[in-house]
Amino acid sequence: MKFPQPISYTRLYRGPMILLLAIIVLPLLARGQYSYLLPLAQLCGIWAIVVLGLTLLMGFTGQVSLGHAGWFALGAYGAGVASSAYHVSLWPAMFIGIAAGGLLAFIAGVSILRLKGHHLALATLCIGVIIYEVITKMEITGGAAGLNDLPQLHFFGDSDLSKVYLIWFIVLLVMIWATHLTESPAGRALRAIHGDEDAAESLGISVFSVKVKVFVASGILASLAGVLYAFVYTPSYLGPEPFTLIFSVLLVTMVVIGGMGNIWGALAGAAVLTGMNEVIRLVGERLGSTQMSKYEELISGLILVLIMIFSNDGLIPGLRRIFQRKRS
Amino acid sequence: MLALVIINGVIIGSIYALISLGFNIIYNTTGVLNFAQGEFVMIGAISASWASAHFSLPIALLIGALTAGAVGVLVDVLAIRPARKASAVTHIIITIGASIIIRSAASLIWGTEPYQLPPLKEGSISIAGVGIDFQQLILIGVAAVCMLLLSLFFRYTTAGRAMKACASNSEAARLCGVSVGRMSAMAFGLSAFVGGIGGIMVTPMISMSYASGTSLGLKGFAAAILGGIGNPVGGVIGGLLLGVLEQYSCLHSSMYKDTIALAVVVVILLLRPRGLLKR
Repeated sequence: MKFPQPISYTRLYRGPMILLLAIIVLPLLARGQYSYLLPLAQLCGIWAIVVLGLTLLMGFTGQVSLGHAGWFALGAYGAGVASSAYHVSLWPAMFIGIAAGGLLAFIAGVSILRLKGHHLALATLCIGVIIYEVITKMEITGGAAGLNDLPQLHFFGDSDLSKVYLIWFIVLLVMIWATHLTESPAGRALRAIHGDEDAAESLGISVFSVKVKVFVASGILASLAGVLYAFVYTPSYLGPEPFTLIFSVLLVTMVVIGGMGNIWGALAGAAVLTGMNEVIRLVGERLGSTQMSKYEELISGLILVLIMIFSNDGLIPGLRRIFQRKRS
Repeated sequence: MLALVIINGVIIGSIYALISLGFNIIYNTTGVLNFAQGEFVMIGAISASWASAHFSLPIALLIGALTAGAVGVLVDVLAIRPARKASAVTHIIITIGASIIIRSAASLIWGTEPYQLPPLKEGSISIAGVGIDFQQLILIGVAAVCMLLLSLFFRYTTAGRAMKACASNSEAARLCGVSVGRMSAMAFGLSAFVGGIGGIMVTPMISMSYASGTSLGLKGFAAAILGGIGNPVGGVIGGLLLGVLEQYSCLHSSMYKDTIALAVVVVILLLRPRGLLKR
């Protein structure tokens, strides 16, 4: 009988090491006329944090959430309201944002995670939309007008470059945590639940409590990303526009495009959806077309569909297959 | 007051019911949850409005519904068929991609401004003290006729039975000589056609722009899941219920209209974890 063996540290840390290298080198390349890419890299990092959490929930545990834009909003607004309306200072406000997300994820998780499949998707969708609507209608959140002049988190200055380093440093930490988790017995429990809940239960895994834990973890990561969005990415203005249901759908798309149940897939999915429009625009410029911006959305939809047709299980597993074929 | 809530709820609910019917037609034949359903509604409405400037109204409406149907067939043939063997989640993402393509193509072809159709019949009557436009009555009637015809179609025609066979066991259906691919294309076409009719019927009441389909589609999705996916009758009930819930919460607080309706949906889900009509 073969038991799963713990993998060696060199293998475990290969991914994070590659990411660390990329984090240090790539932002330095974005200088001069390309420095406008730095805010995009910040956004990509923020999304990557949400998608990493969602990958654990969806890809590994098999529980679909169509409401994570809501937790993203909770983090952003929890921290934003704490500092603007109650004049809480920066760090406690950040903590409040994350705690609010975690607490609501726990309450929601305990009540709805008994639902399965499409029904869970619908329940999370409803909660996400409810959070969005409450935020846009409440007075304390500034309603549709949003919040202005939030405090800014400084990390060796407040240039775009230092913001990129701050956000991606956190992405790296989350990634290390996620790799450790997925290679541990707990990670195997997640995959067992994905495979067959009843079988997992009979193996002694407390399915429901594991589901709640991973839901809370993904909710906390989403609200952490929200806090970073509010205090690092756009401290001058926080409005409700980015937190719609469409964004929840987009997050799920990122998870699937990159490759479900794959840590690198989460990063790839976030990168594809943030970078796609920019790449389309750059290619259009090279081809000498100024009309490209009109077709950005059309082409990005086409790319999404083509990726899913040519690699059913996402980008990273597809690329892996191509490389393995070359090697053999 | 209650009569007003129920009548308005049934009016808006019957459009959700039609959209959820579209979801179920595709789901029951192919097992795909189609997130481009709202875009079919939009295509039907906008192409009919566009055609009404060039042709007489009945022909324009027919053109609208047929255009929607054609777009549905195209989605199946170009996007779903090449990935037939993929997982359910992959299919969902493909239909999300398709919805992005349809939306942006519509904005390129017809522009971003909202369209509106003239009502089929002007005027209104009063029922139980509530004034109802003839157009709203027509919407309810058309929705009911569509539901009736579809249930007859699935029960008594060869094509309808073949489509049901594909859903329960596509391999066995293939062995019996059913072309699974053709049935899938038919399901998408039929579902988009029905969605298109829904869009055409609702456009005299609410104007339709290239982006309006998405939220309608999601309401239809909610209705279908609420009723128990794969159960067309459940979907219709879910749609009507959602419409009435929305109107009811509108009465209490127009500000938190969706919040109240969706909170009730969550509660219903918790009480009936498999959908309204699932055993």
